[in-house]
Amino acid sequence: MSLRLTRRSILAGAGATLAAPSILNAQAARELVIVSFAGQLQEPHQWLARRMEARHPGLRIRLVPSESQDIVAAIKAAQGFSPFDAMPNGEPPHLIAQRDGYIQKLDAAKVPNAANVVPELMAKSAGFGVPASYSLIGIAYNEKLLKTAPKSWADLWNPEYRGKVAIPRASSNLGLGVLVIAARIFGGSEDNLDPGWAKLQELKPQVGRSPTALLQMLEREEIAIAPIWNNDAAGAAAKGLPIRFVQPDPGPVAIISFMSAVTNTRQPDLVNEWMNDILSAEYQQFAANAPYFFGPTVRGVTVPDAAKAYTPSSPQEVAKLQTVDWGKIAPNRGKIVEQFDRVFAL
Amino acid sequence: MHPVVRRVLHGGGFWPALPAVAFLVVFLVLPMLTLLAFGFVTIERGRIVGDTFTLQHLHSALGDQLIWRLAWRSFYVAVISTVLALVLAYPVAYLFSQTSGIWRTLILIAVISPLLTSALVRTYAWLVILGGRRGLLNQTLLQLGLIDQPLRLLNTDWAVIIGMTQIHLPFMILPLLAVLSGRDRRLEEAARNLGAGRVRTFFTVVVPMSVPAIFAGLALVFAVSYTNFIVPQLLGGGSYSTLAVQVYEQTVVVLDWTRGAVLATILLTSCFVFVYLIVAGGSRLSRWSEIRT
Repeated sequence: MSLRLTRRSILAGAGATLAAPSILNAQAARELVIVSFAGQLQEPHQWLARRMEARHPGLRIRLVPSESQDIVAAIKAAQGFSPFDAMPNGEPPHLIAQRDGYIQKLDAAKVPNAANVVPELMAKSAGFGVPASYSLIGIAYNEKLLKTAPKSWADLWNPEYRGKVAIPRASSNLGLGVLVIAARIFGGSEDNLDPGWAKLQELKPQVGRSPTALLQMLEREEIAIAPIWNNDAAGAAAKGLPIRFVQPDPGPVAIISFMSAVTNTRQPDLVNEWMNDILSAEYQQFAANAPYFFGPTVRGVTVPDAAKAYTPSSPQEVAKLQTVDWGKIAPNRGKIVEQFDRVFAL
Repeated sequence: MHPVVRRVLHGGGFWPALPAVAFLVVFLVLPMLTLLAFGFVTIERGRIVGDTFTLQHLHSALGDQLIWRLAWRSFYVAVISTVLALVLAYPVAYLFSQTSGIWRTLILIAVISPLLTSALVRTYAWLVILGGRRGLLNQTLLQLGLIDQPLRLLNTDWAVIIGMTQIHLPFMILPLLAVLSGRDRRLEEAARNLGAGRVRTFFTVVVPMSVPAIFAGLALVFAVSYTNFIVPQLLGGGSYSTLAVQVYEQTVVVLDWTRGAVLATILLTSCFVFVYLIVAGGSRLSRWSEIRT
């Protein structure tokens, strides 16, 4: 048998060769794209993803580390053809995502573990997504640079710390939480943030553009003390840095992180399975442990001893947690960010 | 063979440029026009509401003191950084033109090598150098006993200017390098023969010959400095903002695309005006500098 190579047959062969991998991929592989945290805090999601991939041969779970604000911008630009299937959101972006239709309602029948969630936390989801974990905003400080450890939020204004304090920009959940707590402890509220603005301005702080930037400033010893997430402080301490975390009086601010299905996800069943796994006792225990210290949201998961400096474990500690009426803050986020620049960027 | 195909293959007329022009139209001109158009409509939750063209958003931005002050900061930081880049670049380009062999190659590698890494990486390097008590610069000064307390270098205008100057230096050096190394040396010999000293020859012959390159470099470095948002974001800190940073903040963080587009329009338009003025100034001075052999 002779084989005649013509230009046409060569082109056809080359075309088939080039197209084959993508055709096979489309047939065999399914991909779930999930927004996740950056750095070490992504490890619990990685652990869960590998377990789920093992259950579904051919499934690939891609975790995209990003700030939720960048993701919302990408989803918004995609105009209903989101490149993501599920995303975690803190309470403020969770409310905005509901309002703007970027996340879809939970079908609780398809996520049986939702029945194990602490009811007060489930209620905060407003029927969208599941409460995956909670984190605390407290105060982190460098014990090498400060003689006295802070005990309360008001200590940020202690003259001893002057020039060593940083705060986050108000664009992040951390920054919004700090603004609200500053307003509250100096006579304001979610409806009256003016005392908070005035006191933050009086602090003459350095400003971290993001929670990560703030942590890096603390690590580089540009500052000695800052409001920060418990998980970030724990990660820095685990690296051997002299950074300690305080749950300041009258209490740290607790913010729930919800895992939600992005509207029009191509894999609704897999997203439901992912959310169900997020609420499994195994995952919750894994994420609650060192060095992540994500607060558990399902009943029956105990806070490990190692987490006690970072996560409330006694009823008294839980009672001290400060919550924010995000319904009053989240819709004004744009104006708050603009006000921040008027106060600090000029 | 079809006449058009023949013309394309023989490189005649406009046709060989067609793929590049089509690419630029689809991936640069149209997105830019779309972006600019967003500033003249109202966008809510990712969708255009109403169908009326409005100047209200532009009017509101132009009446905002915050925007003017941030635009002023963008301008003076870009001007200082551009002038510093010229001061630092000229000796390097001149040295390149006076050397040969391995030294010339080494200078060229030193100039080009920063371009092989991303601007983000280079900006992070400045964070390590300038950052806090543990920063390289403060550590060195403290160990040498030159300072008692670490200097606050990051999160200042100067951190942004230093970072921008270094990062944009190759854009200033390269045009100067091309012109200075290709200049006609006979003019300098003639000046020396007529009794001019080295310094006078340099300022009256060499510098005027390099005026077109100086202004090309000024235009390039000014444009990239004025519109840069990575360096102010990382080296300026969270309370530092410029017009370019505001475009990013409004578009990606606040998700107010209309405001982001209006600010982008102001940034682009003012940048075009400044670059035009630099180029026009260059043309005027180049006429003065034209030395015919």
